[in-house]
Amino acid sequence: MSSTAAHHDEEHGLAHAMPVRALLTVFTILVVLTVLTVSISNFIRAHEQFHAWGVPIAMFIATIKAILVVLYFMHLRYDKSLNNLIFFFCFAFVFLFMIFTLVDSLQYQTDIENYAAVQPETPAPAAAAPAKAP
Amino acid sequence: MATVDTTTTYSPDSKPVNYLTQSHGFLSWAMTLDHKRIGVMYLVATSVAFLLGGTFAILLRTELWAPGHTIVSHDTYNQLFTLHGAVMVFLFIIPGIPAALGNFMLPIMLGAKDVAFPRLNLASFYFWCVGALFFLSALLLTGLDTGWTFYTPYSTTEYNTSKDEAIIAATMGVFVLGFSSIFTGLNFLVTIHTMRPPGMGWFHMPLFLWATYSTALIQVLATPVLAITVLLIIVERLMGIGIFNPVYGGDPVLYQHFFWFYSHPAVYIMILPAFGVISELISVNCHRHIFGYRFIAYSSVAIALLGFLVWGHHMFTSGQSKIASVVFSAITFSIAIPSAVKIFNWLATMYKASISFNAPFLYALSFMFLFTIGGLTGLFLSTLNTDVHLHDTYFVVAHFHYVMVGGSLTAFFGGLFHWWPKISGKMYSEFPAKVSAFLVFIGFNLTFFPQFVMGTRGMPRRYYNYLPEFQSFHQWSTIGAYVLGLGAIVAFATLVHSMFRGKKAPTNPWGGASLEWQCPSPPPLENFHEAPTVGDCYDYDRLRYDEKTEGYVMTK
Amino acid sequence: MSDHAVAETTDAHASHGHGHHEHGPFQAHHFETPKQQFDAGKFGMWLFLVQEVLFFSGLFVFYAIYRINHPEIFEWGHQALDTTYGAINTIVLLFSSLTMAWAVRCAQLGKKNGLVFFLVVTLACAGIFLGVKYVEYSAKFEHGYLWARYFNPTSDNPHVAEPPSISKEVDKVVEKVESDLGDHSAAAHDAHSAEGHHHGPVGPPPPNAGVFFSIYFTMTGLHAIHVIAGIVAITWILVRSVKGHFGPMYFGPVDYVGLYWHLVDLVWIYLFPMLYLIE
Repeated sequence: MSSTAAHHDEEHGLAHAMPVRALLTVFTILVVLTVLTVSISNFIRAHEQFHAWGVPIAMFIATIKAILVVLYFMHLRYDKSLNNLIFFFCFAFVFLFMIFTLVDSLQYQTDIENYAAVQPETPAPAAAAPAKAP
Repeated sequence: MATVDTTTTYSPDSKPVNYLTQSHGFLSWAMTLDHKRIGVMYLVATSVAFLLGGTFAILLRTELWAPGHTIVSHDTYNQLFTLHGAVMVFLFIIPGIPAALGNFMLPIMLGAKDVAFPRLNLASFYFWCVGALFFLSALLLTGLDTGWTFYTPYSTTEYNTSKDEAIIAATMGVFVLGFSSIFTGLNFLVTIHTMRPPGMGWFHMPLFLWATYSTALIQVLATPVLAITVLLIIVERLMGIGIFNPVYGGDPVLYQHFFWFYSHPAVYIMILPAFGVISELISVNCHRHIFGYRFIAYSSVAIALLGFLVWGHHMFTSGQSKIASVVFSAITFSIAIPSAVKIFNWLATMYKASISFNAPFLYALSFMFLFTIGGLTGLFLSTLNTDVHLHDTYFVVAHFHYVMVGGSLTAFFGGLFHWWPKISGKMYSEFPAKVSAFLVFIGFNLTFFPQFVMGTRGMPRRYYNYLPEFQSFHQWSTIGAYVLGLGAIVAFATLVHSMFRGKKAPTNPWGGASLEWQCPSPPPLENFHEAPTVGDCYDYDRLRYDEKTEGYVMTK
Repeated sequence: MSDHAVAETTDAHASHGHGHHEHGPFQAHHFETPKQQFDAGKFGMWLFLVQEVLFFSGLFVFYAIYRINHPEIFEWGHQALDTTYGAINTIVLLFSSLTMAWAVRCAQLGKKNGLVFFLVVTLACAGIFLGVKYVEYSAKFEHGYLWARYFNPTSDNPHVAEPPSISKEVDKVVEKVESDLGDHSAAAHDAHSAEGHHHGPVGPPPPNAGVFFSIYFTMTGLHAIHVIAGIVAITWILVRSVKGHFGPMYFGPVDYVGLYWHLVDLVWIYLFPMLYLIE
């Protein structure tokens, strides 16, 4: 295990200590981004033609905020590469989980709609097949 | 980690003091932070769970001796197979090898004093106990008949025969057991990463540790999804959030995605540690360097990662879309590759070796035979069109029992016999141990091979009644279950007998070269009196048989 | 391997970087150096956070699926949520993250007073967060904006024409917090007043609109449980800080609890736009 690769004058003992100024700067950016995302949301609400941009912009800003928190408040930028690896690696699994499930769910929605069209009083898919194990 | 129990002080002057004798009394076990004692407690607890689950299995098979009512009602039958599955999966197979054998062996094989977080380790064990209590309460409340998978909408609808409390208790049990499993995995990952002594590089580690490492990776990455899934089931039953309930616009197939995102990787939580055990058993008893060390090590990691990509093969007939089924089917085939890599490397290790045919090796042999059958029949099921025919038949039951019982259970017994001298400090008697290996092998095949035949002929799983044409297969299967049960009892009886009557075990009875065979049997509190020499853990040329101690000694 | 299983209770300062045979009072016997113990704990904590991420991922996956398949539910339902409260809570949590990071810094530098101060501020923020959450939840309960089984919106119900006492208190809290925050919430305030004081969804609910509130309550509820767990953990750290347990060579627990607290913040950073903003 290599020592923490922090080239900073505030190197203390076991790990890197974040300078107060950096903390305050990050916090200010986070607050500005929050105000920004709320303003954009209001703007989009008022202007129908930008409707499709609402989700991507909001998620983009949220991701920037999340990355700032992870890198500076959580010190990950100054942390071991192993901790970086494991944390960012886990999002690959979240992505996998989401994509496969989403792809499948989008595919069978038409089946549900067709079923619901035939039986309007129960707008729901048929009960799944009985339990199955590995 | 403020202070250490004063009762667990180790004094270097009195050599015979070991982890079993260095303190006494109930609290010295219940409050212990020693990974070996926690391992032993897990061993006892999971064995009890195994016997409980096994009893359910025997009752199920007895019921199926004849069509219609034999000994229990159909409702009881449904509850029995649910509890058999849930107890065996969550209480025995998942914690069996990693938490019991792994806890005991991992730090020793690594050359560490303990796992990284001993208190968390003890907490994991108590989480297991709490989870088991929840299961037990589900058993006493009687009415859990959803199958161990808790499939929606059956498990969430209000009008089924299962009572709210039974399902909530059982899913709560799964939730708590999940955290037990996560914390064990987390502990092992940290231990392997940060506690390796100088000289113990990644590729100096015994393959059991690679297997445990891969298992731990799955435990940390997959189990949380199960936790949220069962939590949603609980919330669904308590509050009716409708996430999985079509009545409120929910989606029951989504539940299966959630469930199998954990539970397919969980299959590898069950089998990967078994692979690790078998690598050790084969190499040590062949007295030969393991063939293709790196391939076996990497194949464990490959299985762990690939295991996350195939969960949809449980859902081919559940309303999953065609495109998803095709993708999942294709990826499923690829997982056969790393498994086959292991089998071939073990065979190559055995080639022209001077093999010691002791009980652990017999278990390892039967593992290879049974796991290969289990794995190859898995290919039938990953083929889309055959799966549509075989889905939810006894073929599936036989397939996964060949992997879970033929694989994990035989590896558990093999590993238990292999490391028993280290754990208990006593030698078991070889003859009954071999008899148990034979009984387990024969009983197992007798139980599950007829189920393959029944399955292809259309006998559906989980049915209380059946057509008369299936009766002879069911009867063979039931006889096999009795033989298998007898084998397990003989195995446990042999081990228990050795605790009282067994000869004192030497440090290295089998001629193993990894670190656990360098510390005394049983090990002292912090495992090694002096720092062990880390060498090639599969280099058997360094060992010489010593007539006096009836064990092997290091020559250099 | 040293033999002393019992950790000597030496002075905490004696172990500053000198040899690994002198264990500090909080160094576990099975670790060779404080550094090894710290690194093990930190890696363990990151793994725990990984576990947390996957735990929450289930909720995010079902959000994504329902969102894509039934956008109308979200467009209708999110109007029942008050962006102002969401924005206030976002700022409060971000601020608590700042104070928590600052507390970790104080622990690393051995500044006990600063550590205690910032932990108390963090706890206070957590309390405010839960208070606002309580106000929000009460409003939902009041109007019947509940999860699927109990979803029964009563906005046109004569019983709620006269606002019950809880609403007046809600308004007071809102005004106070808004004036405290000054221009930060100006934008949010506009949105709030633009929707009218009794903000609420326009038009009749689409079929299965309750699923939106199922998602809202499970996601924010699970997050709130994590906040409560964080409060317990921070309180534990606070007690130990007052006792003077932490210093430059032993601040692991502060750091680990800090990481956990930031993760809780991280989840909220996503929940806020997903539930309150996106339409």
